[in-house]
Amino acid sequence: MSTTQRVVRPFIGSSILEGFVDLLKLRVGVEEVASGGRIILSDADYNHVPISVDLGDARARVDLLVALEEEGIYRVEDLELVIIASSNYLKLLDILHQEPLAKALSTGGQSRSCTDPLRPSALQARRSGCTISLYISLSKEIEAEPMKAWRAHTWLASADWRVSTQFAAISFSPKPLTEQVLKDFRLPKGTMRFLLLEESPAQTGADSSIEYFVDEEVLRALSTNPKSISSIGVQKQLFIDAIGSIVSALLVDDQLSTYQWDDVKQSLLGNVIEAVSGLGPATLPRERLKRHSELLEQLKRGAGGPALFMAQVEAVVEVASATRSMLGGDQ
Amino acid sequence: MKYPTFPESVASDLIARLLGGEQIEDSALDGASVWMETPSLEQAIDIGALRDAVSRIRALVEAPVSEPIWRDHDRVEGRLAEETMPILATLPIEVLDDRGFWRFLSIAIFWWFVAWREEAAIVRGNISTYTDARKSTEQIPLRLFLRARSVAGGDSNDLASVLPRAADFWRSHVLRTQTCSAPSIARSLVQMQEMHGLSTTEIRPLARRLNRVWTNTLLFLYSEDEAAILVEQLRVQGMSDVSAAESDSDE
Repeated sequence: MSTTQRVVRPFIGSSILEGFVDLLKLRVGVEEVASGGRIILSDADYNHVPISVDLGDARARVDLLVALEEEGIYRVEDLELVIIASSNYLKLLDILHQEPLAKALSTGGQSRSCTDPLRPSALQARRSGCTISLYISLSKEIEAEPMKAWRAHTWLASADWRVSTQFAAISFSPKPLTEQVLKDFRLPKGTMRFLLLEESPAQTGADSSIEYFVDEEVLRALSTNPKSISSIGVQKQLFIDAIGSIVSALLVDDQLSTYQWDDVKQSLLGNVIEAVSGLGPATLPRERLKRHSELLEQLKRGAGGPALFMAQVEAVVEVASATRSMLGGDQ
Repeated sequence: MKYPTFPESVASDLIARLLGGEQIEDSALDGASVWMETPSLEQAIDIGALRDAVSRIRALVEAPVSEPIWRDHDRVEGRLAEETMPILATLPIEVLDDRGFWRFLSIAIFWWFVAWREEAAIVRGNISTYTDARKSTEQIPLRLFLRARSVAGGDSNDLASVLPRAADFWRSHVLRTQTCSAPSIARSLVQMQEMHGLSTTEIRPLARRLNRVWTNTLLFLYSEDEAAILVEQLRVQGMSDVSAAESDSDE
C-alpha cells in the first residue's frame, strides 16, 4: 500500500461558491440535469438537442454576489466563469465561455448555451460522449497570501455533467454482422445479433469498447430511417438484448457476490447500472449512490434478481410502449 | 459520404495474414472494409494522400544513406504524425470518433509503420494494443494524430518530431495527461525539453509538479507566455528536487 500523501488543494476555497455550483443545472432540451449527473440521449438528440447551463434566477445570482463579498475570502472582480466541453477519447476540449463572474451573475442572462452558435467538437463525439464542466476560477494572478489561491486560473468551485448516447453509456456501438463474423465466431447462419465480451463486465473498463454485431441488413435499415416507429422499437430491443448478454456474462463471474458499488462503478457493469437506474438526471448524488447499490445487490440475488434487473431495463427503455406502437396501438 | 472501417474481427484476420507474411494489395484491404455512411462527411477521404505520406517516410527510413533523424524511431513517428495529422484533422469528429476507422487506418494505410515501430510487440504477440483503437493513446495512427495536434498552432511546425529518442516523453508527459488537451502547455514543454534535454530522472520531478498544478488550475486557458513561464518555473523547482534528493542520498 502506498504511504505517499500529498496536499491536493493546498488553499482554502469558498463555501459560498461551492454551494452555488452544487445547485446549478444543465438544461438538455426539456430535461434538467443536476450537478454531477449524467444524461443519456438518442444518437439524433446527441447531435442536435440544445444544451445550456442554467445559472439560476436573477435573485439567486445577486444574492451570491452579496454573500461572496460578506465571506471576504476572494474578491468577485478577481474571479471568472469558465465553461468547457471535453471528450476524453479524442482529447477534445472546447472552451465555450470565459467571462468575468460579476458580469455573468449580474448582466449576462440566466443561461449559457453550450451548442449555439456552434456545436462544440466534444458534442459531436457521440460514440465517446462528453463532459460539460463549469468552473469559477481566478481570472488573473493575485497577491499571494497564506492559505489562499493566487495562481491565475486556479479554480475554486466546479460542477460537471456527463452527456452520452445510450450505446456510448455502455461502451459499444453496433457493427455489421457480416459473413466473416459468422465464420470467425462459428455463429449459425441467421444470427441477428452477437455480443463479444472477453471478460466479466465488472472487470471490463468503463472506457473499453466492446463488440456488438447486428445483422448487416438490419443495421442498414435502421440507419436509413432511424426515427421510424419500427426502427425505434428495434433499437430499444437491441439495447435490451445487449444488456441481457452482459448480465449473463456477469452471472458466471465467481467474484460477483463480493462486489460493492465502489468496486464496479468505473467498469462496464457500472455504466450499465447507471444507464438502467431509471433515475432522472436531476437526482442528487446521494440518491444516485443508493439506487446504484440496490441494483447491484439485485444482480447478486439468486435466480429472481437478474430477471427483476432485466424488467427494470425494459421499463427504463420503455420497450412496451414502443412495441405497442409497432403493432399499431398507442397511435 | 461513406468512410471505411474495419470491425475488430476483420482487423484480427487481416493482421494474422499480414504477420504470416502475406502481401495484401491495397485494393483487397479497401475491399475488406465496411463502409459507414454519414452526412457530416461532405468530401471523400483522401486515402491516397495518407498512403503517399507513409510511402515518403518509408523511403527516407529505408534509404541506404540517411540522416540521423531517420534512424530514431520516435522522431520518425513524430515526422509521420506531422505529415498525416493535417489530412485527418479535416475529417468530421463523427469519423474520428469511430474506432473502426482507426483500425482501418492502422492496417490499410499505416501497416508498414506499425510493424516497423512495434516490432518488439509483434514478437511478444501484443500487436492489437497498437491497432484495435481501444486505447487512443496507444493505437498507432490515433496516437500520431493526437501527438501532432497537441502541439499544433504555434510558430514551429516540427515540434512533434524535434526531440530525439522521446517516446517516454510523449507517452508519459503529453499523451496520457491533460497536457494533450492544452496546446500552449504542450508546446512549452517540448520547447523546454528541446532547449535543456532533461534526462528521465530530471524530468520526472517537473512532471509531478505539473500534474499537481493541473489538479487545481485550468491550464488550458494559459497563453503561450504564461505557459512558458510556468514550465520554466517548474523546471527550476524540479531541478532543486533532484539536487535535494541527491544530497539526501549522499548523506
